[in-house]
Amino acid sequence: MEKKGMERREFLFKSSLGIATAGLALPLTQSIAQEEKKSPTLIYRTLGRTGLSIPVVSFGVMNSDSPDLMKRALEKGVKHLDTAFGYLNGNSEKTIGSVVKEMGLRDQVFIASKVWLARDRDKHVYTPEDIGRMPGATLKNFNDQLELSLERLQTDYVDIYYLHACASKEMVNYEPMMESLLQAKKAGKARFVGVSTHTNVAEVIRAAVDAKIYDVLAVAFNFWRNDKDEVGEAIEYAHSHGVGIIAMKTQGGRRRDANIAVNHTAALKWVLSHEGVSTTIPGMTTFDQLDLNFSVMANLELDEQEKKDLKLSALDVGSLCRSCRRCIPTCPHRVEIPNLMRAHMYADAYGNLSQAEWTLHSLPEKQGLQACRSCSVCSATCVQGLKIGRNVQSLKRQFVLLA
Amino acid sequence: MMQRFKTKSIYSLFFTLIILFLASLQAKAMSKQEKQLLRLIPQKSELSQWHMTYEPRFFDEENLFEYINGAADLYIMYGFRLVVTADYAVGADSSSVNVEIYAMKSPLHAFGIYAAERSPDEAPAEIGVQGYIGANVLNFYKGPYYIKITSFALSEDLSGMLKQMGQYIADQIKGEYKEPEMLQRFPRQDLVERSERFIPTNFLGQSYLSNGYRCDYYTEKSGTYQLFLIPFKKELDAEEAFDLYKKFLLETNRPHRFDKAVGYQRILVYGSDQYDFAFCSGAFIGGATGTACPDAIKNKMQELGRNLE
Repeated sequence: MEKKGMERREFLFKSSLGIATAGLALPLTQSIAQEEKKSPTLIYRTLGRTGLSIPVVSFGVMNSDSPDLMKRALEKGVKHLDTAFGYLNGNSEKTIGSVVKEMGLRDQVFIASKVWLARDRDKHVYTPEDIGRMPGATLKNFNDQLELSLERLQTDYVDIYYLHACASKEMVNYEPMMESLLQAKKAGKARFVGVSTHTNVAEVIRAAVDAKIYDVLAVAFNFWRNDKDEVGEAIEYAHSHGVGIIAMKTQGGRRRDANIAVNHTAALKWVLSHEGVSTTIPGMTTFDQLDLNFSVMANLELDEQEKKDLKLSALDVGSLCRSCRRCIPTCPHRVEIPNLMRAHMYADAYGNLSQAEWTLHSLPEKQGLQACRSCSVCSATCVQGLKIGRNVQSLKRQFVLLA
Repeated sequence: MMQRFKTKSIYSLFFTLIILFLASLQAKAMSKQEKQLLRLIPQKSELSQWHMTYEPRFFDEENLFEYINGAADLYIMYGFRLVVTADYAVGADSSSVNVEIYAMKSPLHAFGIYAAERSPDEAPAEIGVQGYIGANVLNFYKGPYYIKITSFALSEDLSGMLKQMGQYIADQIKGEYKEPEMLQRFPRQDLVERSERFIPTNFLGQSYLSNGYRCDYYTEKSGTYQLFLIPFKKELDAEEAFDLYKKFLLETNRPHRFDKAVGYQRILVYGSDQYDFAFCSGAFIGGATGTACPDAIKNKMQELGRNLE
């Protein structure tokens, strides 16, 4: 169609929208269709004792409220959509609800959501009182959130309902929440119940398995976590007890240090190399990410290059402290642990002893390595699993005069 | 040898001092931003009936996850800088109210995150540039700030009290602010109120499309569909992005119509149950997605295009 010389307005708004005259079966241009992108054969795993059979790649709908992306994911074979009460202030649940209803897939898609109630962030315990904008952890508030989630999702039930972000065994075993979950299950509003966890992951997994009421656990798990071995063992523990494991933060999310290159498919394959992991819920906001994540199902085996990439990334990040400072309250002397860990990184990872020494010197005496003199065993703990005690010992050996 | 060692030491010392100086500047900059946020919330008796019950806390990009969990990713994507949060008791029954002020990269980004969390179902509130009030929340944006005020005690006068706090904060944010100018270019007829969005990254699920605007439209005949508009700095940038988007559309849809002329291109495709339309005109990409009835968008496209003139 020759349009040269035509005025912009004329082109756009006179001829253009002769759309109405065009018939579906009569494309007006030469066909430029391309063969539809082929998806690899889906690989399914069973989600523990739930018996649900799900492809190993699912969809974390945390930040995506794009109906088109969700539709494409479902068309490609995604069977499990993961969301939460608070994501996009409820718009994530609403989008899932309208897309699943429009596509008529409710009985073919497993939807998970999560309840978020008040907790003491330092002590990692639920509280019945409201804290800030978190309503107290009570049966009433639990039911209010569940009802609203069901309304937004346009459904009578969710397939999995989690306690969102449990960070300790105390939260896992908090009776009012356990009772609330069991009631929801009994009422048919949640087919299966579980907890999700990003912090103290191994402890939470083991506590949840031992609590015996949880069917599924959504756990943060990736190749560069400092506690990946412990978490991996805990996952196997859950697997052997019939508790389904869904892995999240598989490629690290935003918290990952931005300057560290990651081979995303390799990272996803690494997580799936653990038999106990039934499926993954990478957060996806683009069609490319969807295609990339689906591509791992062509071959779950890590090839040599992928192994090498993972090793390099792990070396980059393995000894890094994230400076969240949550270790400091666990030290009786309130030592500046993040700075000690930084000094350890300079000394061990970079071999830069002068930089390490300068870092140690810059700390106040009472909060530096000197304060560690009186402790033969370090009681400080890291939520990311960094070996604080081991690193402090290493610093003590290298900087004897300071220690 | 000794001289070289001394020179090296002086350089090291000088370098270290520069780093310390820059670090102190950084620390001051942060505290300035914190102070700016603190000034926006009542500290003592600025509002009768209100008193602070939990001192203000700040979270930045590094530890936002500790505060709002997985939602942090989205906020960071929308240009989050810093948040202050404080709790208050209000009214005769000392209902607990939480106030959060999110400082974003720009007023446009504040609108973006506000709109991402807004629901067209909520009642509008005339506070800030735009706001809405639900059963126990008042959310609005003004300038580079997104403000959320939440209560969990549903007292009779709660709505009035939330508005009182909201108005106080809005008044502290100096300057005249309006809705993003680009939204004025969208047709008004059939527009679903409060459905306007600004999405800074991964627009339409495409990593190469940024800073896009989108609105929902509804008619009985066509159902709900969306119009979108993406401004680019240069025409060439728009054309390159359009080529990629066109390729994407053709990968999984049947081409229905494609026209090209100097400076203008448009494409209409049909997927499993909907048409998608896109055009590239000058430094803009625009279009419609999700419509089952291409007839319905004809006038809308004309108007959108006229508004780009």
